Formats: sequence, C-alpha cells, structure tokens
Amino acid sequence: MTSNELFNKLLEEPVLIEKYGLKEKHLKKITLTTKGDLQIIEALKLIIQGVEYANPNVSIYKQIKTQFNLK
Amino acid sequence: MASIINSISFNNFFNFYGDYNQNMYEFNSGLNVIVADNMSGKTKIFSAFSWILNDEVIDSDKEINQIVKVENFMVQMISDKAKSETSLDDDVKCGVLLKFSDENFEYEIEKSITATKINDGSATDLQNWECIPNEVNVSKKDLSRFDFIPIYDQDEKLEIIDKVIRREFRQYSLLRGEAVDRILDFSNKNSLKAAIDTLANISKVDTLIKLTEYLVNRADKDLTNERKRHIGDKEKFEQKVKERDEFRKRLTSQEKNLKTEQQQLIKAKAERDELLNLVSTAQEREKIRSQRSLVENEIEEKDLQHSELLNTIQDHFFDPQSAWLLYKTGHYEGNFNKLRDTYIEDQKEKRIINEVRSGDHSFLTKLPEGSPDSFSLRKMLKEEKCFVCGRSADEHSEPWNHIQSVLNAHTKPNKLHKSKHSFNALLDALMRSSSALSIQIDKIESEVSETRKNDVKYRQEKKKLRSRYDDYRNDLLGLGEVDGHKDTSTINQFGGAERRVERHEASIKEIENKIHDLKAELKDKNNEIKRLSYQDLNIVFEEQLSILTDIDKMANRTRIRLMDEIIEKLEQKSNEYYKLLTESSSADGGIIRIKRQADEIFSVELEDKDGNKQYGLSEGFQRMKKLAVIMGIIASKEDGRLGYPLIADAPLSTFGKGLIEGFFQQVPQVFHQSIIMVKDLFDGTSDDNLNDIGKEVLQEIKASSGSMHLNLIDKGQSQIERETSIKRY
Amino acid sequence: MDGQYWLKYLRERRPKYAKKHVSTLERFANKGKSKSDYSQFGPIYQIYMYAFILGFHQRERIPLPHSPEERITFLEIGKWQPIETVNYLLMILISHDPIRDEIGLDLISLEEMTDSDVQETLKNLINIMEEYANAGFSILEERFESDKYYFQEPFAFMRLLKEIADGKFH
Repeated sequence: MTSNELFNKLLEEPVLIEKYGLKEKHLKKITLTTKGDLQIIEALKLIIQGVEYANPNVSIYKQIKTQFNLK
Repeated sequence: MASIINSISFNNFFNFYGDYNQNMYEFNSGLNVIVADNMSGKTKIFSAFSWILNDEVIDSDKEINQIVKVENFMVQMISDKAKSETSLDDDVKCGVLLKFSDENFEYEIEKSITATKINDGSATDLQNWECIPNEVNVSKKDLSRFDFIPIYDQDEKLEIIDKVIRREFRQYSLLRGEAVDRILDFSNKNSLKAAIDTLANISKVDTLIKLTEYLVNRADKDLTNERKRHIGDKEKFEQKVKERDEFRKRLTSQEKNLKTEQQQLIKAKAERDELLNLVSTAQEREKIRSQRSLVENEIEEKDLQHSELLNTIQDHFFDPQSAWLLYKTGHYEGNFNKLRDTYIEDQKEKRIINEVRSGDHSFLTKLPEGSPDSFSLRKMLKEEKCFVCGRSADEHSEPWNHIQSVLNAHTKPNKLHKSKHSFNALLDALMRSSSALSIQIDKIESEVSETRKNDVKYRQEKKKLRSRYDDYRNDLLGLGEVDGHKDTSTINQFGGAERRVERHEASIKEIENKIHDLKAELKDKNNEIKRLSYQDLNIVFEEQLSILTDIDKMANRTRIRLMDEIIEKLEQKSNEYYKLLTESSSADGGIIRIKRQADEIFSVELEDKDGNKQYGLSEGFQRMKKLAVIMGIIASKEDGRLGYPLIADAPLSTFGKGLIEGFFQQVPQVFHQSIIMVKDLFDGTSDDNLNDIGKEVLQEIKASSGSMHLNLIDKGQSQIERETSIKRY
Repeated sequence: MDGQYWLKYLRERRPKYAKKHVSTLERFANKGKSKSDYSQFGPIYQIYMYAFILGFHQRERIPLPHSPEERITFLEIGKWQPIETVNYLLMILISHDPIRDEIGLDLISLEEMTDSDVQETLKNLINIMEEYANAGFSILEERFESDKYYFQEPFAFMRLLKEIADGKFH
C-alpha cells in the first residue's frame, strides 16, 4: 500500500465531513503535495510522510507542534 | 516461477522396503492421485514430503497422528523388514529422494539416515540401534545439460529446498486433514493475520496506528504540563492529575480485559459450534457402535450354537435315536432273522425226531383222510373190531393194542423230550433291539450329511457376521474413530461449552458497565482539572490533543475498513470456489460468511440464503468450506494460480460422492500441480482396485495430464514382512 | 438253562483289552468328565465298541497277548449303555457265519451240550469280539500316528468309520 493510497483511505473517514465540515468535492482534490489545508489535514500529511520515511516518533511530534505554533 | 515435483522415492522408509528404484512415484503437472487403503502408506508419503521440507515426519502410532522431528524418530522410520534383515554390527540406510524442476533447472534432494545394529535382539527395539543423519544431498542440472552438479554450500542447499514450496506458503500447500483446521482458525488472531498478510500488506497502517497512539500520549502530556504551569494550587492540581491518571490506567486495563474476554468468547463460541458438529458425528458413531455390538452378540450366539452342534456329535454314536455307530450294519438284521427262523424250525424238527426216537409213534397219528376219530376208536376197542379194515380185534391182541396206542396218542398229553438248553429268549431279546434300530440305521447317512451341512452353515454364517463386524470397524475408522467414552463425553462437553459462552457473555457485560462508569468518572476528573486551570491557558494545546485524538480514531477505523475490504474480497472468492466444489453434491452447502466478531477476530461460518447459520452440515461440507477459503486466499494473492504444488492427504470419506467429484475438478484449477493421497477411491474387489469414482478420476487424468498410483499391500503378511508395492496406471 | 440265563451269562462277561492300548484309551475316552471336547468319547466301553466296529468292518482280528499281565479287564457288558446298541453288536457277532463256524455256534446242537460247553462257546464269542476291538485300536493308533491332528476335526470319528465301512481304508 503506497502512502498516497493510505492517505486517500484516511480521507474517506466521515469525521472529516461530520465534525470538521469539509466538503467531499474539496476532499477529492487533496493530495499529499497540496498545501494550505485544515490543520487536521496538515497534521495527517506530516504523519503519513513520517511513516513513509520512517522518521523517529519524537521528530514527527515536534513537526506537528511546530505546525500548531506550539513550543 | 512454477516448480513441479517430478518424483519422490523411498529407500527402506517405513513400509516402503527396498531401494529408491523399487519405491518411486512419478508425477506430472495437473492432478496426481495416489490411491491407498488404510495402512498401506498414505501418511508415510506425506511424511516423506514433510521430511524433505521441514525435517518432520508423522507418528501414526499414537491415537492421533502427531508431527515429530525426524531426529527423534529415526529408528521408527526405518522399514521393519529392512531392520529385521540387518545383522549385528551391520548398517541399514533409510532415505527419501525428491526430484523437482522449475523453468531452468532440474533438482534432486536426498535426505537419509544410517542405522547400525549395536545389540543383538529385537529389530524394533530402539535400544538396539544407533542412528545418524547423513549429509543432505542436493544437486542441480541445467535443463540443457546432461549431468547433475552436486551442491555443497549449505545456504544454497536450503535455498533449493525452499524452491519446492516456499516457507510462507507451506501451510497452504502441504495439507493434512486436521492441519487445515488450524490454518483457518480465524478466531486465533495469528492465523487470521497470517492469511491477511498473505493477501495484502497492511503493515504500514499498523505502523501508522502506533504512531498516532504515541502522538496522542505526547499531546496529552504536554497539555497537562501546560495546565500545571497556569494554576495556583499546584499540589491540588497534581493530586487531581494523579487521580485522573489512575482512572485512565484502570480504564485501559478494563479495556484490555474486555478485549481478552471478547477473544475468549469467540473461542468459546467456536468450541461450542465445533462440538455441535461433533455431536452429530458422535451420534452417528454411537449408532454404528450399537449395530456393531449387536453383530458381536449375534456372533457369540452363533458360536455357542455351533459348539453345541459339534459337542453332540459324539453323542450321536451311541444314542439309540441316532445310532451312528451302527453305520452300514443294517444287512445283519436279515442274517439274524434267518438264523433265528432256522433255529426255531430246527427246534421243531428236533422235537419231531425225538418223539420218533422215544418210541412215540405219534407221528403216525397222521392218519389218512376219512380216518376214525377218538370216539370211533373207543367204540372199536369196546366192540373189539376194526372199522377200517373190518377185521376183528380181540382185547390185547396186536391189532387191538395198535388201536389203543393210536387212541393214546390222540388223547395222551404230549411228553416232549426237553432239551438241556434253549436260546429263544436270548434271540428274542436281540431281535427286539435290532428291529428297533434297523429303521434308524438307514437314516444315518443322511443325518451325518445334514449335520455336516449345518456345521458348514454355521461356519459361513459366522464368517459373514465377522465380515460385517469388520465393516463396522472400518466405518468407524472412516469417521475418525475415537474412544466410545469420548463420544459420550462430547455431549457433556457441549453442555460445558455452552455454559462457558454464557459466562463470558456475562463477564463482558460486567466489564462494559465498568468501562462505562470509568469513562464517566474520567470525564468528571478531566473537567475538574480543567476547572482548576486559569483562563489564559494556551488552548492550542487542547486543540492539538483533540485533533490528534481524532486522527488516532481515524487511523484505527481505517484499519478496520481495510480489513473488511480484504475479508470481503476473500469471502467473495471463497464462495466462488465453494460453489464449484459443492455443486455436484445434492445437499445445499450454504454460503460462506467471514464475520467480524471483535476487533481483529473473525469467524468463518456457513449460512443459508436468509442469513441463518447452518448447523449440522456434514464434515465434508465443513472441509470444503475450509478448502474453499484456502483456495480463495491463494487465488486472491497470485493471479489465481499458485506456483507451488498442493500436497494433500485428503480424508474424502467425509465428503460424499458429490463433493469428491467437485474436489477433483476444482483443485487443478488453482494448483498447477497437485498430489493427492486418498483411500476412498479404493475397491479391493474390483479388477483394477478402483471404485466408480476412482475410475472416473482416472479417465479425467488420462484425458489431461497427471498420474495415478496405487499402493498395494499384502495384508496376509505379518507386520514385519509387510511391504508396500506401487502400481502405476 | 434257558435263554434268559444265557443272556445274563453274556452280560456278565467282562471283556479285556491289551495293556499296550491304554494310552489310546486314555486319549479317546474321558470316562465321564464334562463331555465338551469333540475329540473324545465318554466311558471306556464307548471307545471299545467303536474300536470293535472298526475292526469288524475291516474284517481284521488281532489276538490279545497271552500273558495276563498284558491284559486289562474292564466293565461287564451288561453295564454298557445303551442296551439296544450293545444287543445289536452281539447280534452282529452271532449272525456272522464265519464266526459261528469257527466257534461252533450251532444253536440247535448247543441245546444238548453241557453247561460248560455252552459257556465255553459264549466265552469264545466274546473273545472274538475282543480280537476285533484289538484290531480296531491298532487302526486308531495307525491313523493317529500318520496325522496327529486328524482327531481334532469334529467329524473325525465318523469319517474314519465311513472310510472303513465303505471299504476305502488302505
């Protein structure tokens, strides 16, 4: 299973529409390389890429914190 | 790259006495069938493949066949006959030779052991032997060349052995009846995982889930720290956090308990359902057992009657009702009667002669017709005159005396001369006995013949009964004969299994309630903590945690969805095969449903069209269901055909005719080469030793590719003398 | 003396057999133990009668040994069972012309002989029976020697009797 495939599979989760208010049309357009999406989507991308490149968990968390502008 | 097994041969391996050339099975692609009755080497062939591939063989001396390591079973593997022919200090070799090829090369693999007789004594006593495994011989040959090159490198040897059937596929390619059950026990996480891994690689998702779990933990910790920094009463805060963490721990532990109980419940349900199936088989066995014991009683009774018949044979000699002793002596009665009559006649004559001798002229009393009677004679005397001649007869004159004597003879009592001895009473006594027996004597021949006929009849009837008894015994073996006690306890076990299911269900409810309460408590605790914090807390930490928690949930749910998709495909493919495998059978086998029972636990069930679980299907359908799933796994994986041979020891007896046909048609569709060992095509009374189905299969094989062999064993020989001879069609 | 007397006299005779046949007798007679073995008869007189019949059918007589030590006397004929069969055997003996000639069993002449003459004749009759029986034991032994398992078959005695009576022996 490629990262893209996994990412797209995750995007099928209903919570994105139900809780985060994303539209289906919009969801279809999202890929791993697109930018400027909701925080949850951005976090997801970081996580998937982290798995792909086998980054250490600590680093991935740091990246996410940075994305949230936290220290 | 497809590999094909070309042949397997045995040297003094179990009941295959002799060297490789004498015990060889040659195979082609397609369906290869080895027909063998019980005890003629089926499981042994399987053991041979196991040895080559896994260094294991099957010990069939125990009640249930067990897989054992070759190194622990060396003496027992050697042909008894070969062992008995080995003298003290001599060697005997035992081995298996496998030849196979792929597109480029031909390979030979030989595994063998050498045993030396170190003590004199029984050939089957382990103590009398010393065994060592020999070096594994592997060689290969380029298809364009003529000769084989031996391989010495150990790693390369293992690589080549792996080519026969790759390790991860062995469990799906090397099938023994019971082993199939284990592979497909999807209530066991590991076997399901193994199947799914064969089908699709979802390890990435698992890594993802581990990551998201970690991220949630970190975010939570950071949030807590952030809160701590912004409150006054740090002590109270820490206390609350501690309490909350305590609840978290308890919640986690209860969630673990719940998972465990759910797994246990699945297992318990599976056991119960298994027993439900077993109960019907057990009942069938009980039925056969009771029929068998009826026959047993009949045999006993017949035997008793037979002994009684035989024990009274001697009585017949002397019993006057039968008098067999007097066979062919009937004609003496005639002699005797003649003798007796003669004696009586002689007696009469003698009386007469005696009377003459004693001067008794009474014989003269035989006067001619018209002679005077005694009245007239008296008158004559009185009147002193003879009326016959008319002359006078004076008193006391000669003529007068004559007349007087004649009168005396008429009127005087008979003075018989008495003999010294007489034998009349003796002869009479003998005659009475002889006439009593003579009628019977004529009947002796037919009576003896009748008794002999009855003797033969009893023997034949006993023989028939014994053969029926043997048939029942074989039927039980075919049903997987277990101890009678086991069957009666199966029913008890079923009760126990039901109770266990109930227990786990109750347990689960209890835990779910606990979890519910804990979650509520946890919520309260979290709220308390929140309330203790100041307002200018950086809420981004909360947001981060919330988002990461959602991502974690998404990841878990996605995993479930992925598994469901894989399982759905598998279910679909399995049903395709199931339908084909069972279509020749008249019964409706239902539909395969692979159902999620809990997080990572599935069960493979059969349902009817309306979604009701089907119970009571014969073992044959159960096996077909499992085989169909295996074929589904393989077909989903490798574009429909597995490039490795299927080697199966097939207990077709539980299949029934329809399923057997389906089996032989479908298996070649999935496996490019299959080697199937069966007994159910065997019919010792037919000229080619095959029954109807066997003949059909042979036709199919002849029309396509493949082979059929027959194992023959001389059952008249003793255990040590028995060898299996292989006949190829 | 009348017929009853002489009948009684016959019944009181106690036949003899040769000592050397004791083992055969033991083998084939179980003297009234449980009669569950079909390879044996019961009392001795049964096997004796059987031996007599064999010898008689074969027309073979073997005289008993002279010395009394070599001869064993057993049960008087009158006690043999069943009476009808015993009588029948006596009947056979008496009816057989050669025997009568040999011992002078001319009943009508015997009527006038002395007591001891009659006794003598009757004793000779029994003697002849003993000789037939003696030959019969030899036949039994011969068969047993040539085939140790012959008498294990349930119908063995009948088969042997038939063989000899039908003239197929030797």
